[in-house]
Amino acid sequence: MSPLVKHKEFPRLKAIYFIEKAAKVKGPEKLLVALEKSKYISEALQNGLSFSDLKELGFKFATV
Amino acid sequence: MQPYKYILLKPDYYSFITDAGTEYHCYFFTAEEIFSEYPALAKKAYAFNLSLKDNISFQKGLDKRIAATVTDILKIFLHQKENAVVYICDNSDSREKARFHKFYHWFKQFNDGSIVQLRGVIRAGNTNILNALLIHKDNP
Repeated sequence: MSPLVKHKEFPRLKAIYFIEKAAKVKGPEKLLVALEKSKYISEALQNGLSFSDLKELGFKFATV
Repeated sequence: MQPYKYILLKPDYYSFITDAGTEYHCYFFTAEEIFSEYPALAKKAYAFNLSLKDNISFQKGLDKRIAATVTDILKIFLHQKENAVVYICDNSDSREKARFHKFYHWFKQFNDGSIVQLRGVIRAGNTNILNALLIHKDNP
């Protein structure tokens, strides 16, 4: 009998979280927040969230 | 060197598949938080990511067409001369220096001179953040 494995759902952070976090710091620290945001988006996509999901959370993407 | 054919999944991301069957996604997302003290610039600032569609290990060996393709996508994106792209090297796996140098050499090899690349290391807290700013040479 296989044990039940509960997968934690990937946390859904809103884009505003990063904007507000960056607003509280100055200079180079803002780049740390941008790096955190970049990692979050990358990990979210690897963990099953779609671009549509991320857009619903307020993230904005662009193409030309 | 011919870039791979890529698909534009407007308005979200670019996608291409290598000869080895690996699918990559390239995407640009707003990075207004970096330049929040400069509102005019913040509206034109994007960050860039290149990721594998599936979380599998990178193929072994060197496929220069990947570099040609990514550079091509960046050039097209920056052809809108007011945009600026920030590339921040992921340090989660301590391979940020390798990414930094690889990205620099990709651009050095395939840039036709239309894009200016400014590289830097910024100390923030206890972290060195390796990054590059890309702009069109005619960006006002």
